[in-house]
Amino acid sequence: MVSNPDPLDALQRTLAAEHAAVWGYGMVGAVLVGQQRAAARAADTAHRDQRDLLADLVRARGARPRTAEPAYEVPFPVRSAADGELLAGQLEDRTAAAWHYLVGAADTADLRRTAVAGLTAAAVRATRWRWIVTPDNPTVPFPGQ
Amino acid sequence: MPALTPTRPRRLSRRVALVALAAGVGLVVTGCGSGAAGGTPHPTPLPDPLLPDLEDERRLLAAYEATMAAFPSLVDRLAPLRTNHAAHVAALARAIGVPRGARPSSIEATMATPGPDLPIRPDTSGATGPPGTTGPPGPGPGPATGIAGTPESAVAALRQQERDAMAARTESAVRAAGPRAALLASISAGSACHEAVLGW
Repeated sequence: MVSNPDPLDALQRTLAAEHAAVWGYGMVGAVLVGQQRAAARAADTAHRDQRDLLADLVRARGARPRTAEPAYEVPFPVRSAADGELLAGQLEDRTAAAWHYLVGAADTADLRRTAVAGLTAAAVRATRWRWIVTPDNPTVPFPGQ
Repeated sequence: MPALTPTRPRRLSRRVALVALAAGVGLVVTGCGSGAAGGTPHPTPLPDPLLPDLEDERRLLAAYEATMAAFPSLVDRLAPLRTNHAAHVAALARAIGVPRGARPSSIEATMATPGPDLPIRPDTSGATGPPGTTGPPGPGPGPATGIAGTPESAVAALRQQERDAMAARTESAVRAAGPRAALLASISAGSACHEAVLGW
């Protein structure tokens, strides 16, 4: 564990995770249909909003927001709806972990509140995607950890 | 460059969760000297700000126990969530470093559960009425009041308690800092997920 994490670094990391999520949902949306596609589109919009919010927070600290990478490494080929749902859950877990890190690094109450909200939103979306894959137990004890 | 590869298992196995639970119970019962804040030698430290969160999570755990005892048909559905809450109780107790037998009077007054000995058992299949959770409902917004009525109303009561827990842990996280804030935030997010799952 890193001691005394830097809030600006944590903001940039979370921003990077949101960039990756937006990119990833492009792949997810391409293989889903109907209700799941709508859910992916809503999640994509939420991640774009979070990305823009984080960029503003980075700028407010006098730094330049990280930009998106041209492409990202995907852990497995995404060819089916099941692949897309699995990837979506992993994208949300990844962003939840970034927001969780930001909670611990935050140096103001406002930033902590923002980070808790970001963690919670990603965790609930992750749970929803997992629920499709493993409906018996889609939850984890400590989202983001 | 950020990869999309996850850095941890996507879910904790039941076995691991139960081991963590057992470890947590051990900490509660035997105390944890290394966890005491700052190693302060004074016998009467100030109440830890996490204590109300710990007691609240214990009440929530007791509410799940009582609901599962009252409605065996809900056991399969609620058992994983109950296990999560047991892990929350253990983690908060560990963060506080709950000393042996210590139960500050200020916390005693906030207790809504009938007794101090919660049946934190790794066996989630038993629906034979856990001792300690069948007493009269506590005062205030006590979770034990949710066990009357139908399974549907009991689940609705648990959902409301999860919403309340999410809000309370969020406020605690905002007031805290560092690893404690992160722990409280994770527990808050966990309750948000439970609330969602109970509605599906």
